[in-house]
Amino acid sequence: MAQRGGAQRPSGGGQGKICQFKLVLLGESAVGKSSLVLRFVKGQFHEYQESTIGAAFLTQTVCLDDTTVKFEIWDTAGQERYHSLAPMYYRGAQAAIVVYDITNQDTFGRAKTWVKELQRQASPNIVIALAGNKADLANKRMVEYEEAQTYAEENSLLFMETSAKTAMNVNDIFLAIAKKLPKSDNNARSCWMLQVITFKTGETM
Amino acid sequence: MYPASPKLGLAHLGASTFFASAHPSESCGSNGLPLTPNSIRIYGRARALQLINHPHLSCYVDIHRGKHERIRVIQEYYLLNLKGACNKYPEIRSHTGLAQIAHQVLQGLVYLNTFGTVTCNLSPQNILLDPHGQAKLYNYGLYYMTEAGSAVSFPLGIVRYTAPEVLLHGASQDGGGGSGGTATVTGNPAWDVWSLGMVLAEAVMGYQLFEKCEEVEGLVAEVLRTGLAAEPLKHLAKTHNSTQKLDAAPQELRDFLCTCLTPDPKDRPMPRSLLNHPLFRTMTISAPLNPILPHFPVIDPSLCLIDFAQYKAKLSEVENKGTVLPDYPLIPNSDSPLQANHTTEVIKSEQKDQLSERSMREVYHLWQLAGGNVEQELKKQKLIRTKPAILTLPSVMVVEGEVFGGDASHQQQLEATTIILPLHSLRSRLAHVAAHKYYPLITQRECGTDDLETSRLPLVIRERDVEYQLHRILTFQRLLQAYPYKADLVKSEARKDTPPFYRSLIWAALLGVDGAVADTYQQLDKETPTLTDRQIEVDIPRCHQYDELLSSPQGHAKFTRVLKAWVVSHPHLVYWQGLDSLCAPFLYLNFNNEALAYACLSRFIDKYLHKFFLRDNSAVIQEYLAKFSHMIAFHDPRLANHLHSIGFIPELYAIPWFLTMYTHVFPLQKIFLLWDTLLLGEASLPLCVAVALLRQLADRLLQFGFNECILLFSDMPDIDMERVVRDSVQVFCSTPPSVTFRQHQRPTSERDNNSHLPQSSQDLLMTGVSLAELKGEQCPQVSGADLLELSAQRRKSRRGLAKLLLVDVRTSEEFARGTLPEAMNMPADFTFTPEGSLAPGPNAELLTSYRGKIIAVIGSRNNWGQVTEFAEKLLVLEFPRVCTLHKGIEVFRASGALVVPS
Repeated sequence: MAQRGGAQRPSGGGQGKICQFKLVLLGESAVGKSSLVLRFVKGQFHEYQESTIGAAFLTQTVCLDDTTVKFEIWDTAGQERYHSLAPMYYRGAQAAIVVYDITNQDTFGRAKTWVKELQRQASPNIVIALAGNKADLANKRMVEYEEAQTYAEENSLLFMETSAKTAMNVNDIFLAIAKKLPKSDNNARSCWMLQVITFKTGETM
Repeated sequence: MYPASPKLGLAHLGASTFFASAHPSESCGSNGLPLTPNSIRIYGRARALQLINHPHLSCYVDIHRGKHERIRVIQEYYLLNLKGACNKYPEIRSHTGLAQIAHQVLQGLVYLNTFGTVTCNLSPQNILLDPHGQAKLYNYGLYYMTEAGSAVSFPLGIVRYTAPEVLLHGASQDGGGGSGGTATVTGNPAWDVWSLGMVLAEAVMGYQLFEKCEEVEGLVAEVLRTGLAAEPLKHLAKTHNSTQKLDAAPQELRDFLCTCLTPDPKDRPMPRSLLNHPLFRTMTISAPLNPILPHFPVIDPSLCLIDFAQYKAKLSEVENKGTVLPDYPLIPNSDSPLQANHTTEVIKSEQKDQLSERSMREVYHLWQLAGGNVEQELKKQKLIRTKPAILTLPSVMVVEGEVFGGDASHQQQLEATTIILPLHSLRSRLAHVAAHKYYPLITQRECGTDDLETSRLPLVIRERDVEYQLHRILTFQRLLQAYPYKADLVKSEARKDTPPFYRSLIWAALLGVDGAVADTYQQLDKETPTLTDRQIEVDIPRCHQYDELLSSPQGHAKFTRVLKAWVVSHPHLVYWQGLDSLCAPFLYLNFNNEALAYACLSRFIDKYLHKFFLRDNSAVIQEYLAKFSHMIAFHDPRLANHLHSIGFIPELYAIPWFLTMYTHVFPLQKIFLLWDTLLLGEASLPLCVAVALLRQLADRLLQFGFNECILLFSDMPDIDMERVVRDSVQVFCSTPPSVTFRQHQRPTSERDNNSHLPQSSQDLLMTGVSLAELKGEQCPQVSGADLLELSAQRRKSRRGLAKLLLVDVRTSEEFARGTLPEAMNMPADFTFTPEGSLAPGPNAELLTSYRGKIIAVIGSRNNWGQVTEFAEKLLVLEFPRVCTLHKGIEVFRASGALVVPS
């Protein structure tokens, strides 16, 4: 899709725009942040996904109508202690996905704290999405869908329940973010750059 | 190390194999993760069996996990079992002989009970007799490792000897307290007592029990009928027409059998109380009945008495062992006559066979190095039969992934055959090693592998060379036994290389582990819930889980305990994610000795990660990362300039490197290679490792932009670890010590006591530099003392080869008033052209000729900006090893090192 989309065409103008966005994932540890990114970027899922220390970085491009959106994704460490590092990653981010685990009420509480912090500290126009991950474990659900949805509406967040394991809603949530992001020309970069990235990450949507 | 593992003696290494039961596909545990394969459960538990060390229990040498849930067990083995021995030797089937056997079996059982398990698998086949006529229980660990049989699909034990209550209720019930089905499964020791009774009764009567029953159902019925009889022993005798034979037995023996065959398990005595039975009045216990936990260091005052008792017991054992049973089948019949001759010869000349004096585990390790492969042996001897793949295809497969049909029948039973691992090729490989080499003399200086040609070959070859490894093992065994007195020698030997067989103990020695390791650990509270528990609980199931041991439930439990112990014993420090990875190598190496794993982890963090696990560690980490940036600039200016220009700062990628000392970045096998050297070095060595890592990837990094660089490290590419190790040592040696000085490093005793030094010397030492200053500068600072040291080296070297160029950047007037001898004056204002290149001149030429040597930029602390600016201009020009004099030239005033240039 990326190849068919704007990648071959020069940037600028109304068509074939290439936009680059910085996106950060936040949330309690072991809720599946790295798994969501891995699913989105490489289409893979590891049951024993290693913990993230500090942060990890990955990129992925998606096509939206005539715009190619390139995500630069910062996947952060979940443990509360790494909190002090977080601003380094969400500073200047245009989008954030705050993740919780639907089988664990505490992680939902932690997600709310993250949302509050982002609203206070991050760029004012940041697009925030709330992801209730591990939807495949619905039989162990502790956070009701409606509860999270109401919360998301009150705070004007995008909201989806996702499953990195079954890939449910994973691409969708990134696409929804892409749709909501402003696509002005000052985000555009050269096509050549984009192709290198596409080649490196190997997979496109 | 302690207790020493049993020697090979006249034993064989026997291999047997069975299948763990497979989970239905796609089944998940309550945490959403797939269920741990049963073979991994077994593998993790079986490790503990290697701790068992008792003369009447065959030693568990090793356990492997193969494909398709196959488990392979390597165990001490003898060709004669109780059944064969009774047929062959009248003295064994005599009543006193049998009583002797019963006594020995009971001792084995008591030891197992104290260890926390039962065998549930007692039969004449599983009671082996060694050439000295000593009974050795075989295959007794099956119940323990399979968690009461729950991890396999076959029943444990042979029906005719199994206690009736086991046949009725199954073996997963719990005998004593506690709950069944979990890791606390202990079984009921009384089950084995029944089995022992049946085995002995059979031997006394001289008949196979229930011989006529061919069907399993019939057998079960017979056993249950026996159990229901008022007097099971009489019932047995009657049904086998052996009342006369039984009556011929002495009263005490009959009474013992009767007691063993008590139908109600509640009334049946335990093995321990049976040891006091009058039947054994004249017999003595062969060895202590309580397992001794592994102990390091070996020398510990509290253990001396036990040790002495053991030693005495050993002596008497040796005396007892004097005679070998006549005509004992020492070698399997199937061996070719030539081999047989060879082996018999070797065994007959027992005095000369050095291999039999080595521990079984060591022999097995060497056997593998000599090309031995258990799977190959099992295949050769038809215990593993390979089938054409098409025959194993299932006939039906449902959408959920469950399969039906295909050939799964082989998993339903336990293959009782044991094959013998042939040792003749290992023996001939080591035949030329002189006997005295087995007892290396540890003098002050040398311990003797230097004369081997192999010692000059690359590490990969040395690690696979049998003879070389034998020598290394012999040397280190001696040294480790003498630890901590020989700690220095351990260190100097480890500089050559670390034999994998003793890696765990060598590491402990290098870390200086000492004192009451086991007691300290035992007293720590590893159970009480804490706030950290959830974090540890979610981290462990994703920490080095490709490894079979660390992914087993036993591994997880041990992980939790060691981490909790560390957290609870370091109240000023906290659990940071990454501590789990740091614990992994120690736990892997000391899987059977949690206390040592804990001790090593604590010592390691203390030395290499001092203050890293503070609740607020940002100052510590920031300083470390700033030092790392300086190191890159110092050693690789081109790379440093590039990374600086794209904003690729260490904060973004190097935190996991340092916080986990690379354990979160590399798989265990690579970490072993790295840490073998890391542990020999100073606390600053990890910085050099990071420089070496970047150096290996420099070609790529120099071409990459920010995104590609960070992607490269998000998924660490394949690294030639041997090269990293080599390079990092080289980096370390070419870095003045003060360059890596950190104010948060662990104070060593000398540095601690700086205060007694006169002011003039104190000035010359490195002191803490504020984080802002560190981060503001690109080149490292070097202490006055290091500069004097380097200058002195220069004067000493024969050809006057300089390692160092001193560049005084003050004005020529200031320079003329006093500077260091041999310093060159390059006033900052006139040295560079407006474009930033060196203004031509003799001094500029001299400077260029020193490219690659250490260039120390010296100025006044009152004009510090000038100094750093000068250094950074040199960095831009890609001069390596540029550093600035810490606290300016003023530091030399008091010491009188300054001279007026001529």
